[in-house]
Amino acid sequence: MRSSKGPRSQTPPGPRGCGTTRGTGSGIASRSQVGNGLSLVPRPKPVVGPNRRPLARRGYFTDLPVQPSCVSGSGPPRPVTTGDTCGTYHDGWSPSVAIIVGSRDGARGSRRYAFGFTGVADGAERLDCPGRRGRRRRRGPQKVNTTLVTSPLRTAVRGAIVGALAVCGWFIAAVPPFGVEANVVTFSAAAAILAVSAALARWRRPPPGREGEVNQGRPGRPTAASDTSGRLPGLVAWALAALLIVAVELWELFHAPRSAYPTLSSLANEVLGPGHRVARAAAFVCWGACGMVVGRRPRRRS
Amino acid sequence: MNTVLWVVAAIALCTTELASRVLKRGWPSAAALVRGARGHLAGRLVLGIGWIWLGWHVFAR
Repeated sequence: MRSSKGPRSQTPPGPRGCGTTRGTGSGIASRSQVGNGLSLVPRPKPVVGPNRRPLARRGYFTDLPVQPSCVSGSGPPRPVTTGDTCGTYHDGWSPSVAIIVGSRDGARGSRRYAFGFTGVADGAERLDCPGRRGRRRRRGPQKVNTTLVTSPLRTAVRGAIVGALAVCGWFIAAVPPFGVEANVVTFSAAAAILAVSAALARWRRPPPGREGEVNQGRPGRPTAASDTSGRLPGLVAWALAALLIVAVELWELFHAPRSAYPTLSSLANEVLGPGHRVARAAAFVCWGACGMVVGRRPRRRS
Repeated sequence: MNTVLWVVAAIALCTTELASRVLKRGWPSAAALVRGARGHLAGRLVLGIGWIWLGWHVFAR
């Protein structure tokens, strides 16, 4: 087992070493255990299977006020960037793999960096500082799994929602259109979908004291694009495409017959008409899934 | 003939989305545009009303 030899006093809050580490058990990390101003969220016990290997890897993220660096041997700290897997923690809780998941603008314009931790119960995980040649020694197969999966509960909830939408869609697809019944059923379904969406958003909202928790449960993508030179041309292109759609729709709408000048509605009616129950049910599932998203404020990304 | 216009419009939309995935220089994707709209109350209102109208148009009319 190799441990960090770097001068810890030079290490800013972040990974304290790179190398091989061996887990000694799982535990609960708290703010006081980690120290150095980190705002770690409580770490629940990972689900372990045979040989005490984790069955599911969970992500725990925290903000750092400074850019984290990786210390290896006696060399100077090397700044780490998005996607690096570097460093281990030995501060009283089980070793975990630190993954730099991105950066975002913090308060007062400062940059803040987010860490992700894979839940590692027992067993060896070999880590090397990426980009530091000469110090990297491979001992057996590299096993750095940076895949963070969502919780089983969230997956179950999503599955239940999709199943409920499919059942509702199957029955709503059989309701003949142009009637009071169709209106009542459709608007009732929309209200129910919006209510469930709002309830889920409230449930997912982090409790007070976990404000530093970002992008929970999945590895972050570098959304803070440094090169935004294509944003204006992109917006113009999207506007032109939308204008083209509107122009074609108006052109078709004010010409007849409809069979020769189909509008979007008439085209969709060929596929989603009253006689196509399965397609209508599938469309209802997609529409309901969109409804689960559109009325909700987007989650903050790293 | 007039269906060709829809094909052209669809190609334009797909090309714009593909450009957002290939260029990656701040070129917004459709998802990024929707996410940006969801960040504002007015955007969420517009999206919600449009979503309800779409469902009413498809399933009730």
